[in-house]
Amino acid sequence: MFKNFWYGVEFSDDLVVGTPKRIKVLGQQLVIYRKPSDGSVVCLSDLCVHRGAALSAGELKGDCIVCPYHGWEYNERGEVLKIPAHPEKGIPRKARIDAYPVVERHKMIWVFLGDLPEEERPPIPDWSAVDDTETYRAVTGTFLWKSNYERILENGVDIAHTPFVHRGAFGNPEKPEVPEFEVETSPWHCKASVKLNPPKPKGLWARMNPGGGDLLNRPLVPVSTTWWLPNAILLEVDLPMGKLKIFDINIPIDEETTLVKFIALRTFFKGRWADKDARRRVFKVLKQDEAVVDTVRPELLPYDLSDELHVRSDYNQVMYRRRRRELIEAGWSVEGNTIVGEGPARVEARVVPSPVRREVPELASAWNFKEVRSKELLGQRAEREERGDLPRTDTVEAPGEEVPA
Amino acid sequence: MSATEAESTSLSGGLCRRTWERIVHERGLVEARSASGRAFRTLVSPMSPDPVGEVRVFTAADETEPVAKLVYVGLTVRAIGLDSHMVFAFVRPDLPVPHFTLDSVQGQGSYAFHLDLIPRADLGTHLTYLDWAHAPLTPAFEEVSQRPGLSKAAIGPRQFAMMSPWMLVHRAEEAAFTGIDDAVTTYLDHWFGLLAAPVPDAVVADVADTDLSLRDARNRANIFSPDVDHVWAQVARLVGDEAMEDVRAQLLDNEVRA
Ligand code: FES
Ligand SMILES: [Fe+2]
Repeated sequence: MFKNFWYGVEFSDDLVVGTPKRIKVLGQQLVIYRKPSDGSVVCLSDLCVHRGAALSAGELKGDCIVCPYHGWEYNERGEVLKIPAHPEKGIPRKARIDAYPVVERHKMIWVFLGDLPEEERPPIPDWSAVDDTETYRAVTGTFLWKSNYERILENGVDIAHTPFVHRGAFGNPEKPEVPEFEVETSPWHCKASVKLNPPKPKGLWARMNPGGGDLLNRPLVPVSTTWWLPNAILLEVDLPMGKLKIFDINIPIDEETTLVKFIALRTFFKGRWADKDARRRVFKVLKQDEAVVDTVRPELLPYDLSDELHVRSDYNQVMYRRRRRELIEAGWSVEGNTIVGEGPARVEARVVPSPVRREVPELASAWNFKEVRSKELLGQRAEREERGDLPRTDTVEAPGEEVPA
Repeated sequence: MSATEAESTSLSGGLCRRTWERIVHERGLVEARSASGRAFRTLVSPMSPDPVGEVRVFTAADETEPVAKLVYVGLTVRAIGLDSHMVFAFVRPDLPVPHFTLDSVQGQGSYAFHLDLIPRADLGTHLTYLDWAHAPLTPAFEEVSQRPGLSKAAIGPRQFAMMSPWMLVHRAEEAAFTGIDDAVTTYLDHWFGLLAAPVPDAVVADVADTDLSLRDARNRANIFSPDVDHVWAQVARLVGDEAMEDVRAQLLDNEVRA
């Protein structure tokens, strides 16, 4: 799991003004809320610096969020503005929590989890098709998946599995060959395009194409898969009846749990009457993928490229693994950000440092939640190590480890 | 597949398309394609190098389906700012269920539509039929009629006499036009309701004095008569007399003539 990225965390429509929402991303509890004054979204660490209560259980007072335990009031920058028990005293410098930059784009709320200054942040993926409501009809959905998000991501961009896992939906098991790829890459994404054999048309489309059911001789269907770091994918299928684009974001709740949020666009059957079917189709595909991904061992991606056997049609995944290894080497893995609160808040949690920690160096000593590993957490690691299920992504600090090319 | 089929994303085209696709979907209709596998008819015009429109025809999958034929006619000529889409879904001649129609037009920057269930019996003498087939649309009819941004379209009483008093026929500003989807849904839902259950005995008895098939043939001959609806003269100017007559022929009865 990586910090220093924009994470799509919620559909814009699903966050109303005034009601805070608790979310968990990268193992860290966060609270998001929409400010009454201008409707913009705030994202804070969900850990009150006083005694560690969850701010998300509190209420809004103006644009501030009030801790439900002792009523400390936090503004959108994570600073405590009021301590009700001692209104006459000053506010301690340490009375602050991490606040994360937020952008709303492409129907989603994106939160920057990391401390990079604005100009160094990786881009938010280009999902502009989502905004083109003239051309596309959209449905959205959410799917909780008990698997590691990177396995899900790899599955999402794997073209060779469609004829087998999605037989009938858009795979054609009688013609499983994956022809030559066209590839487009940047440091932050990789798109692979191929032309696949379509399955036999079914339902409404078949009735609109009587005689079009010759399975072996139908025109090829352009299909492309794209990943954007750290966790977004796009599946595009140019069916004879129109285009299908399924954007999804695989939100790592923790190492073993992923919340998938998708926006599925279509240029055909754009009436509201077809929304239910469109949503059902995406869920069907996700369920088929879930059944396979859940059998993949080990659950977490191996660190070493050569640990699994790659063939040519795995190109897109291989690219992803290369990039993730670079990120791990750059220290962007969040495993180092497990903290234990010093002082009164005896809390163990993960807190990803926010940009303000870098922006205001004078405050360096003011952060109550420091990036310190607790003995207990290290103990748990030792246990897991003994059981042999320690995620290899945890080994970032291992000194001098050989990294095979 | 032709560009017109895939990319009819104009406001007027979109409304009509969503409507007929839903009917095809819910009634399980099957498309009658041309020999080349394309739309039933592709319309060409001396005014444009590209096709200016198409006729698509769908029929019942079997004889138990009450909807006998659906005809969609689309005409788009950007050069003269015409974008016209209409759909008629005809119920079997022997059933007293109204036909459904939606006409959705954009011309010279303004929008217009008509939406109706076409009566299958004389409304002045068949109150039971009227109360079953049409009267439930009254609240929707009244609500839509007084929406801002809509104004009555120019359709004379003579032409109106072939349709129902519940016909919504309006010019519309863009914002009002985009809001018509829900009225179409209300009319469609009512119509699907009529199709879903057997025709009540009281209604069957009420219209027993009407030769439904004969009346249907005569009614359709009038609705689609160039003498009644001047749109046919415009269509003829666009695609020629022969093609116009061919389009008209698709609407007069439920035959599918290649
Ligand atoms: S005010 Fe938050 S725990 Fe006391
Ligand atoms: Fe899949």
